[in-house]
Amino acid sequence: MVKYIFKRLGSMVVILLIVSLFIFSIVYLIPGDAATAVLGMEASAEDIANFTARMGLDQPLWVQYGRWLGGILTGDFGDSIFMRRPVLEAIGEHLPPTVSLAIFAQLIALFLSLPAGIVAAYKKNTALDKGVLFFTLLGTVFPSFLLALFLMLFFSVQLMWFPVAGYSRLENGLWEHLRFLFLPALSLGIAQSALITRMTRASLLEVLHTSYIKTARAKGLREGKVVMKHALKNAGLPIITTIGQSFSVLITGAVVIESLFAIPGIGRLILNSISRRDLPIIQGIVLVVTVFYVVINIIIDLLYGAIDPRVRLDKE
Amino acid sequence: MNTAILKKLSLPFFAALSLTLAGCGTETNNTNNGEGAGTQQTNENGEGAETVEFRDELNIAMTAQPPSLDAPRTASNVAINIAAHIFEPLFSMNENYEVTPDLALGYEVSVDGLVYTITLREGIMFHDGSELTAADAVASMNRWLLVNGRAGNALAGSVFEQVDDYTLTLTLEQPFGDVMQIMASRATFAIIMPEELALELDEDGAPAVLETFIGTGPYEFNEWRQDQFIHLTRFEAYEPRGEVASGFSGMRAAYTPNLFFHFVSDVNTRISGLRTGQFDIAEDIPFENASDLQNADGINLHTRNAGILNAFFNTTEGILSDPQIRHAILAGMNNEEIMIGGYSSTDYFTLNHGFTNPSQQQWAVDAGVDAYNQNNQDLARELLAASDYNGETIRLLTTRDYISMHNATVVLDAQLRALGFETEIINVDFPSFMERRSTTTDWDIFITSNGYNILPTQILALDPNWAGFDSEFVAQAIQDVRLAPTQEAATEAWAGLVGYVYENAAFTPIGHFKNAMATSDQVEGFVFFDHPVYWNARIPR
Repeated sequence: MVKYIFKRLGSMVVILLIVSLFIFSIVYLIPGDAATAVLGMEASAEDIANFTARMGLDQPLWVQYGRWLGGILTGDFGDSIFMRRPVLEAIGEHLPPTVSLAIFAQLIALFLSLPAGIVAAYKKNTALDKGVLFFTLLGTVFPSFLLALFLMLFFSVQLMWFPVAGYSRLENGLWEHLRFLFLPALSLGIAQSALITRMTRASLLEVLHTSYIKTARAKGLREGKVVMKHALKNAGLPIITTIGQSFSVLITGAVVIESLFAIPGIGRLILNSISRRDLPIIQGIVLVVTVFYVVINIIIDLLYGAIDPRVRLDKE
Repeated sequence: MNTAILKKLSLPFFAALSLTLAGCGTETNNTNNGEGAGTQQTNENGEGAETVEFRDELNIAMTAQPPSLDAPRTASNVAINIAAHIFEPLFSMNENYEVTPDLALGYEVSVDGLVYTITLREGIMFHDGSELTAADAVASMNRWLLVNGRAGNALAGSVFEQVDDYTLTLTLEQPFGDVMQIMASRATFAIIMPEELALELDEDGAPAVLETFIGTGPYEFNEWRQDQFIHLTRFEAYEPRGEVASGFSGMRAAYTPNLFFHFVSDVNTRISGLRTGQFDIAEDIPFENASDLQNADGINLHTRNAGILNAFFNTTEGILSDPQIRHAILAGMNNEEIMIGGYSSTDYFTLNHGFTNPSQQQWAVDAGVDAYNQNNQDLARELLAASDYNGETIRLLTTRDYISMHNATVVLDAQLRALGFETEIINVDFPSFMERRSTTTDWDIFITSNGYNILPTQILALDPNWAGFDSEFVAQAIQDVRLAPTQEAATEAWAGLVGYVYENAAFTPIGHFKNAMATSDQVEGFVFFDHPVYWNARIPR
């Protein structure tokens, strides 16, 4: 198990190198520069030239990449060109809203999807099943930003139940924190729940007709126990994978939703940084996101082993 | 079991959760309209008034986060808008674009026009508790010449020196007539800060970028939450000028104790926030939304003449380096149609051939009026037929990031096609647009919206680096305007320059656009001059 984790972490280093070089090249090759973003459209040529030289942006790509890589090895991710502060500090500041939003959205997704998926599978081919399928289809195809706009219009503008936009730190109180995050989390949660519902239904359907479920029923177990304990546990691997992937998507930044609701999270930071051509921040976020993905995947793999004793990671 | 599972369905949970969340608590300081104790007994007209209590906060939704509050370093409007509440200049412009003393008491000019002696007001305090002296002003103004490219170029070779505690001089190399306008202009914003801050150097020995924001303004810097908001608080030791508030000058009363500048990039969110009262003011309202807000209850829409939508022709390279083809385009352009494409309604623009704000009468000249908005397609086709044009593709560079510029380009493209040109629209993101625009190989025409400049010689369109229009005549004419002994002589030289640009069809204003922003109808004392002014804005309790 330990060997497996180290092996996965080792491969992460190679992934990080490839991804960073790729992103560095893309951002370098696309036209536009940070000087215009910082100094404004009407900045003079002298100001732009001075800024570019001061930030070292006039150096060749390999020099800039080498300097950046050297910094990473010593734990220095560089400074944001736009914000003029350490990259890790900027990412650290933008991470809490995204983590909170991701957890809240994921909880909403699970509250919606697991019961719906179970009911749909159990009541296969009934009106209830078809209804659930219809809504999951709608959730899959309906863009979350559009749903967010409808939710904002109804709950914030009409009913005035929730703030239109903004973010309140956890230090200001949990309920206040959640109040600001509720609509964005609901927008994201509904979209994610569609996927998880479909996966839950499909996985459970496969299991519900197996012989050990018949055996469990024959033993006289209650239906609730049969479904929740025997069926769901054995149908769990694909569901957990989907939940993990869904969480990865959420944690790496809901770009549109964060911008729409003015949440100062990672998604908004990366969107702004791309338009500002703020390469150190883009690189930093890509590294952090890649680490998140790999770590979440390792956790999912470990959960496989915990849920299904047949899966033995250390035998790979 | 079935019912058991159904009972576990989360709908009741969500209903309960949403009601609980909606009902609980009060809004946090970053978004509420807190009802504190802003109280004032004088108004922005400098008159005594009955005691009125105002709300504790004003919440302003801006489009973007500024790159810095070091205003002279950036031409970013959002930076200047916020910084103007923290820092003050020696001189500023009133609503008639006249230079008026701000931190200065007054000034005198030597007979040869080379030495300006400026006296400071006494007893002005910085936010750190120190008193403003000439040493601070000299260090700040010399820093300004170094960090602001436009000011540094315009006043090259000039130096500020201290005479005594409250007097300083500016010595010029040439007797330019626009020195005071440059010092008072918001575009070059000459802010005053404590000497030690102004003299801070970075590792390369150049003036350091400001990280601490200490000025003399009516508000002091409190907090900057990245990508969220900037919070300013009233500076209690502020000494306002006694004159009536006008433009950027006169009384700054700071009725509202706290100003929150929120960064809300999505326009629908800014508008929704204004409708619900979460924001009191929403900046940058696109005109397609403005018409909805015009008649909305509880909301006031504010517009102002903001700048010029210009079409630039590539006079250096490519097919449009042939002046006859440029004249053909100029002849065929229907400017009103293009402006409607960009700004949706005639309410939001005016047609005017001038390169400056029509309110600045001293620069309003007739030169070029016949060449502007000719809308004569027959003449255009005639000129085109007589030219060397052989169906080459004309590349119109644009960006969807600025929708007015993009839509106007689409209309111009259609007009050019109707005249018989082959065209291609190159649509890229804004940074790419700026990069391509800076070279003369990647485009034939581009359209940009350019904000007004106080000084005509600062107009970006005349800068050879903007669209490659590099002419000795223009460079000389700019010098003539600047060195003219009287305003009449300057205006005459300016008319010659405008006429030259039209004769060469180097670029043309398409029209003058307005900017819109919206406020709650409870907001009083708000002024939408060249930039929004919040230091007298307040909401009575």
